[in-house]
Amino acid sequence: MKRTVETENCNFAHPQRAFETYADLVYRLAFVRTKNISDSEDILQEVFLRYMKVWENMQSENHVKAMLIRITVNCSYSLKTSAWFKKTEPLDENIAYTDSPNESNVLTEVLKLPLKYRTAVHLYYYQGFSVNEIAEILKINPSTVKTHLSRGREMLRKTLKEEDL
Amino acid sequence: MSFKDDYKKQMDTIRTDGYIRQKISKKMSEEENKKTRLHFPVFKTAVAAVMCLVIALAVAIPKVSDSFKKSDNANLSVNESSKVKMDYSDIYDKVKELKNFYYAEEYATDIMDGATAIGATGSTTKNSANGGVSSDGGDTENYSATTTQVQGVDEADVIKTDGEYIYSLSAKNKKVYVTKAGKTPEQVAVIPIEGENAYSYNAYLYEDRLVVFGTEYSSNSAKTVADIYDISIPKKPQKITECSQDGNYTDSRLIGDKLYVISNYSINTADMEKKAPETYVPNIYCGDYQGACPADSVYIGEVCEYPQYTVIAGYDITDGSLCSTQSVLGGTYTVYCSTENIITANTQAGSTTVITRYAINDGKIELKAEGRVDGTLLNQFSIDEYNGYFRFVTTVYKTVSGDGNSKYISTVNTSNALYVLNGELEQVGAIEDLAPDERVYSVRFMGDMAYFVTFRQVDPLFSADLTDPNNPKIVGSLKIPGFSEYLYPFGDGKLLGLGREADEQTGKTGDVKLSMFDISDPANVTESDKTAITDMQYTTALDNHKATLVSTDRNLVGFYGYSNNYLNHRYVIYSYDGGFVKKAEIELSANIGNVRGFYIGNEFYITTDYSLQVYDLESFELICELKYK
Repeated sequence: MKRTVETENCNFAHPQRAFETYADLVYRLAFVRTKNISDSEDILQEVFLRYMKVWENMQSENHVKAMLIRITVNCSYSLKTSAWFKKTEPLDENIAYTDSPNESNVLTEVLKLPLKYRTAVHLYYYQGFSVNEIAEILKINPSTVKTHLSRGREMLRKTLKEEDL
Repeated sequence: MSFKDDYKKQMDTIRTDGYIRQKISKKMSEEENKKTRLHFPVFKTAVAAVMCLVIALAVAIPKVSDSFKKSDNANLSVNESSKVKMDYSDIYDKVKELKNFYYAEEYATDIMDGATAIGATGSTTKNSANGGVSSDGGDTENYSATTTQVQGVDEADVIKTDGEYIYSLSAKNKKVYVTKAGKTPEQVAVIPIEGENAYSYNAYLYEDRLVVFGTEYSSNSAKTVADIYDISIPKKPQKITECSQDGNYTDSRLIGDKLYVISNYSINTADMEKKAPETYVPNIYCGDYQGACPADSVYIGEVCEYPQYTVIAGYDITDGSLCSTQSVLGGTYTVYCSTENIITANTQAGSTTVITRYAINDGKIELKAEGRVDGTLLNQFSIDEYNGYFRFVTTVYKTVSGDGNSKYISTVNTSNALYVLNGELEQVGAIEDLAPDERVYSVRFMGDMAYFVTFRQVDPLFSADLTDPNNPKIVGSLKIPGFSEYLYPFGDGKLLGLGREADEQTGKTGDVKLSMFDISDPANVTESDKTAITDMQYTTALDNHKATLVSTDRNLVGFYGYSNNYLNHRYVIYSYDGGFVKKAEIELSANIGNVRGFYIGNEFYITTDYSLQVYDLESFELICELKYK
């Protein structure tokens, strides 16, 4: 950024800094939701451009993170309904995300889950949010989050045969 | 490993690449800047009003936000903005915010083989007052000239002749040999190419002037240099002057006695100093003009991701004086030139091409319009100007799944398109989604018609009718195995294709082949004949139109090639008489540099980096061989 606004409580939320810190987070969430690299890149840009309109209101680091996740989820909804998205092909299910044949293809299986389940699984297992935090971020009921998580786990247990889910 | 660990491990590999990040970061900066700055280039042309419209699309009306410092120009009203002069300080600010691309000049590709893909065509012709080179080999008088794209517009090449003397440039030996033509040719002079780090590409000949181009490299920069010689006495060439401009040589054209030189120049933003414009705008060194380009000759392109300029300079070949210059922030790799316009094209990532149009007139260059087309251009032949309209044939790439990570398979879908743009480079007509899963291999525009070849396994030759610019139509397509890389009009409803054979089932490419198409009825194009050159899988004629001799006057097609294992080097010559007739097959050795064939009078010449051979034009018997000294 050419200009930084030098007010104390705004620095941490500054768009360029947020981008550096959270680009991966946003991108990975976008990828889990759209299963598509090119859409994920578009969403990455869109999220931060939208963030630039609200960054001055951020109260804390967590607030920044939550805001970015919320925007990402909203972006992927609008993308999903656009005609363009409908034309893109679904991810090739034969693609392996792991080099090792012994490693289970965990990511592929997660991506096969329905959108809401895999979103919950991703935020819980990868981002490390609690059920309540996820509820707060997505502005949904904690029991809804619990349902999504448990149903997602059930489906994964069948395909992955993992005990620690 | 637990699910959580496995998932984390795999998810961690999902990242964007640095390029995307830079792009987004830059986009964010731009959004930020829209709140604070005005960027408007100056236009001296009468069509400034139109230009404003084009520019307005690219630069939003700025809003001044209280929390940010106002720029110096913020006092000017928006209505005045299109006429605002941009000064060095504005240029500095704009360039400074761009991230460096590579700093070292890396585009020195194919420099040793003068047949660079960047492509100047080399033809030597005496451009007389009543017009010039014909587009299919430029047979003016009794000698053949370089194969060029547009009549009246000469392109540079490694060999030039005026029918009396032959000027051949040996990149390997860094010399230009001057030889008197004839049954017993005689070398009369040699011009050494100076500079340890200088690489020469090609030349022009015009009346008594010889221009030799090259790029000179220094530790951190490159300069395109044009050496101008007086050759009124061929055995005593005199260097008159040197015109140079920052950047790598990209392309050039000669129209009459005016030379247009295009280079690509990258800036290292770390070296920029606001007070020294020469550190952030291109410099030109030509006669009286020595130093940074004037601020008003610099334009910020609609899309400029890196601090790289396209520099175009117009010189007078008689005295090497600078006529005018125009630089645009945004590099270019494909150049098309007609007698009135230069079009530069730069493909952006994501498969769109930004097009810039400059009007040229007697050395003067004026930026007129900017536009874009979907897809990428194959080469200069993918662009054409006709009756004030600009036509383009492109291949459009769409990525379906990603390829940013080796674990993923990338699926790229292609299709092809033809676009017609008006003088302001706004789209007026298009044909899209042609030949899906194929890409364009060759294009030829001929007035109201366009012919182009796409290929995957089978090569359709499409004929498009462009009589109505708003409504271009495909009128015919011919499917044949193999493909053509270049298409040449061959008189009388005939179109010559030079390309390769391919297996219909597997698509595996084979020998070089010639095809003759009957285009007398565009809706019903047929292949009248074809011939494969046995055991020749490669010829420079496949990437460089100037390496091909195409003469409708003498009914000759000639080029040099070799087989896959770099053996069997030959120069082959064909005629067409209801069918292809092989006139000659001349054995050559390997490692001879650039090879060109041409005729003068009743002799046929083959020049390489090392020697000149003379053959009888009828029997193709060797008369004489001269080794260059």
